[in-house]
This record gives sequence, structure tokens and C-alpha cells, in this order.
Amino acid sequence: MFCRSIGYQTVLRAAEDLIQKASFRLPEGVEKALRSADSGGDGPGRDSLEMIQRNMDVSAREKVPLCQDTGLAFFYIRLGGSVVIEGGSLEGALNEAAASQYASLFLRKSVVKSPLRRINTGTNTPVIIHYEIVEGDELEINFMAKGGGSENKSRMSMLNTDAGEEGVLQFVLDTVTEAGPDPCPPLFLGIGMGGSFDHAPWLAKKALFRPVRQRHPDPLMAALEEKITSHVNTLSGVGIQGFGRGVTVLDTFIETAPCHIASFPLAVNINCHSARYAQVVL
Amino acid sequence: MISIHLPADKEKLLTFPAGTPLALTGTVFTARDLAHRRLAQMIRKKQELPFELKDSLIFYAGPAPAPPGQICGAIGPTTSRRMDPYTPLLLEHGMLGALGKGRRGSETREAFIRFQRVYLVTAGGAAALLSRHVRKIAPIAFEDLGPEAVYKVELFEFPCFVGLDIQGNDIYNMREESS
Ligand code: SF4
Repeated sequence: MFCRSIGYQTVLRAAEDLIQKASFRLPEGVEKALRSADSGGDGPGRDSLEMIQRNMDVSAREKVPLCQDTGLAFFYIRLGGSVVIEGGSLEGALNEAAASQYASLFLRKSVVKSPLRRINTGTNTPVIIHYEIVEGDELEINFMAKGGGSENKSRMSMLNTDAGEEGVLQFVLDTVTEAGPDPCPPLFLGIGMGGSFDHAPWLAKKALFRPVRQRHPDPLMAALEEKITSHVNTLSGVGIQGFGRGVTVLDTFIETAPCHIASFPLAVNINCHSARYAQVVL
Repeated sequence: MISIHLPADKEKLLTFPAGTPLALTGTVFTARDLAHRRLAQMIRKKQELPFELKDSLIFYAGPAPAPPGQICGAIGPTTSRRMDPYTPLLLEHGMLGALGKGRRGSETREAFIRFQRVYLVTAGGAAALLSRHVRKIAPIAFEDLGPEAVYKVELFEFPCFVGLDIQGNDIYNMREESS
């Protein structure tokens, strides 16, 4: 059988580059959305939006991280079935990349060893890795630096099977309203619909890697994405930084999966305006 | 934007309504989750605190390290509500106010009003920009906590807003109140 081997060092360098890329510059679509966001007129919301816009310039120019919360390091890996990593493990390379870059780029180390003991690991590792084994001979690495503020406000629910679009809209609206200022709006929403109790939240996280304004290929889902964004913007009253005016949600992304006849799993992963992610294909 | 210099303007700071934009100059101390837990333990055990809490402003922040040649790494507010269980105790011991982001619980709001102290807020996710408003920063206690240590920070025209004023008006409820 044909195998393609990729060296440990190649993976390590690629992962290091992604962390660097994501830390000081937002993805193009995110930056555009923030530059053209509705400020809602005079007041703290508009002042904050201006701060967020100027922050992007300072970060890129002076190589100071976009946010002091440089996140948990998430990797979403799509590994071609015929790829072998030579000279070490994929997991090892990703952890080594995070440990070295969080030190050398002066990113914050935000990981504690256990929720109860709360001792900082000092390296921002271990990283969190999600794998998908796909056909082919490529290795796709997606990195996301995900802040605690927005992760803390994410929610999941097992809805009734007849919840329908209405039920989805209501749960998302409630989640964003309850979160209020805490996840640093304006926000991006990742919605995981279907699967199971454990799978839906992962779909929600995965949805957040999709480029801004790129709609779901299924027209029903694409329309629902637009509906959720405008529903929350019209009704939540949260606004920029929770100050009540201007845009609350910049974009919504849905990922779906089949589910049990008795279930309607729904998860909302909130991402803040500082939506830091990057991708490479080896 | 109103310029405030601490400690000189500490009385004046109490006079502005919620929503007022401020440019804050002066010394503050960072403390977030674990530092609050330790400070509260020390107060309860009647131990001496690592800094003078009376008339000090606490900044809910855990900065990133400073890159070489720069004064301060990324610094910005964390969600204040997690500090709520400790805030009334710190107010009782003379804290001048706090700087963070997000709503406070009702007991905490009442404590701010009762002690006639202010809660300031600033934008989350603007930490590169905010780092340019720091003139000096150094850890002074709990260094084993890494980013959760207490840092003494000298702010310079640091942009923020009055979040809760001493009448109990809340920047996060202003839209509801005005409409
Ligand atoms: S929610 Fe995002 S922008 Fe806000 S503090 Fe956390 S990482 Fe930074």
C-alpha cells in the first residue's frame, strides 16, 4: 500500500507557524467584519469598537498578542489515511509547538493541571486535539487559540425532537443573552446540531473554523445561519461589549450530523471578536 | 474622556455617572481568581497583605509576559463576576474600586453602593492597545501563580468607563433604562 511520510520536524514547524500567525493577526474575514461592524452610534459601544479596531493595528505592528488571554491551544486535525508521521508522534509535535511558541512569542500560559488543584503547567500544554481520519495523503492542521471568557459561556442542550427552528432560535438567543458582556461581544457563533451529547459540542467548535460569510452548503442550514444572526442581533439587546448598542453577532456557522430518533442535541460554542485561528495543509 | 489621576482624584472618581469614559493614570494592582482566594484567606487570618488594599484599585487581569524591549505584554480585563464572592470582603477592607469587564451579581452591586465605591470596566480583547497605556509593571506577590500573580501596574491614560456608579446605575443596563 502507498504511504506518504511527513517528518516530525515538518509538522512541528508548520504548527509553530500557525500559532504565530493566529496570535498577532486575525483571519481576513474576521478583520473585515470588525472594520465594518455596526457601532450603534455614540457611546461606550462605539468607543470599544474603535479600541478593538486600533488593537488590531497595534498587535500586528508591535507583535503584542491581540488579547492577553492567548487561549487554550486547540488543534483540529484532518489526517489522510495514507499519511505516516516519521520521527515522532503527531501529538508530540503539536504539544512541542505550543510549548515552544507560547514561550518564545510571550503568549500567556493559561493552563492549570487539574480543575481542582489549579496549578499552572507553565507551558500552556497539554493542547487539545481533535482528529478526523480522511481519505488521501494530506495532513490538514487547524489551530485555534480559544479564550476562557467565551468558552465559559458556551452551552449545550438536548432539545425535544419537535423543537424545530423555533427551538434552535430560542436556545441560541437565551445563550447569548445570558452570556451578556462576558464573552466580549461582538461574537461569532458555532452551532452543533445533531450527533449526540458528546458530538454536538465538537461540531459547534468545528463550525467556528469556517471562514466568515461562507455559508453552509445545505440551503436550509445556510438560511438558518442568517436567521440566527439577525434574530440575536434584533432581540438580544447585548450589543458591543454588552453595552446595549451595535452589533452582537457578526456571523453564525452551523455543523450538523444525523442523530437518534429520540434526540435533538444542540450546542452553541461562542467565540469572541478576537477569533484567532489559522490553517495549513501539508 | 475625563482624565483621572490616582490617588489625587479618588474622591472625584466617585462623582461620575455610569457610562462616563475615563482616561486613568496611576497605580493599580492586578488580582484575578487565585490571587483573590489568597487575599481573602489572608484577610480572614488577619495576616498582612502584600500591598496596601486601602484606597487601592484592583484590576482583574492576568497579563501576558512582556516581549523584550517592551514595557508590558498584552494586558486586559477578565470577567469580573468570578471575583464576586470576594469583592464585598475587599470593599470592607478599604478597596477603592475595581476594574474589569462584565456584570456583577446583585450582592456585589449592593456592596459597591454601600461602601460608596466604583466599578470600572473596559473593552475585552483590546489587550495589545491597552498594553501601550502601561508605564511600568512588576509582580509583587504570589509569583508562583504565573499570570495570576499580583502585579503592580502604573497606568497612563488608560481608557475605561464607569461601570457602576455610587447611585447604583449600571453601564450594562443603560439601554433598558433609557428606552
Ligand atoms: S473572551 Fe476573547 S476577547 Fe474576551 S478576554 Fe477572553 S479571549 Fe480575550
